[in-house]
Amino acid sequence: MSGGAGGSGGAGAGPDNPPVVVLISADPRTSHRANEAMRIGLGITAGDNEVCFVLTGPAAHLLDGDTDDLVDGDDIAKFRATVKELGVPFRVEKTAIPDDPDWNAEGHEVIAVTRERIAELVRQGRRFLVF
Amino acid sequence: MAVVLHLLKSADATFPREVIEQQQGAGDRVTVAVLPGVGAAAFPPGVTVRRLSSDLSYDALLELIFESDQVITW
Repeated sequence: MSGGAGGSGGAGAGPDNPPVVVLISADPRTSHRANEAMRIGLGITAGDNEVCFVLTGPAAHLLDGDTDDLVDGDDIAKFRATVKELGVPFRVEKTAIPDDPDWNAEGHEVIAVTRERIAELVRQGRRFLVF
Repeated sequence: MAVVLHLLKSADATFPREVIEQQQGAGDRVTVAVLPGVGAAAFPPGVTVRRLSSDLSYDALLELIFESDQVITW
């Protein structure tokens, strides 16, 4: 696991270039907000911004293999594929990772993190989007 | 040492509290502005807690935002 909070490409996160932290806890099975958060975060990566996606609690279902049960499932599949193409990892709360073997079937880069580590990531951020 | 403002608009303050504890441990100066409609929430000693429309005006909130290095809306 990297020491910094950085995620997306560009100059690399560090003390002089802290990332935008997109912290998602909304449940994509019941809410549009999780997809919206990912879409907005993706938009931010289009600039010269480091973006750090953090999924906590039910937001881990954004990486479900089967998107049929997700609100905005088609969009989620599209946006997360773009996130993968950009080489941006998802930091996922360790205890929230589902047991389902189909979870993250597409092989997105996932970094399992503790809540303590998530708190650190927030502290290292420049801007925050909390959904 | 950073000056940090948390805007709390959700009733669940569990995770914000964990973040605040870590910020305090690092020596940050932390203020929590509680927005209307949010019930009582306990924060660690040393955290300044202010309630919007009660002991914090919108003008003062704006000042707090500009004075802070980090603003996190929960």
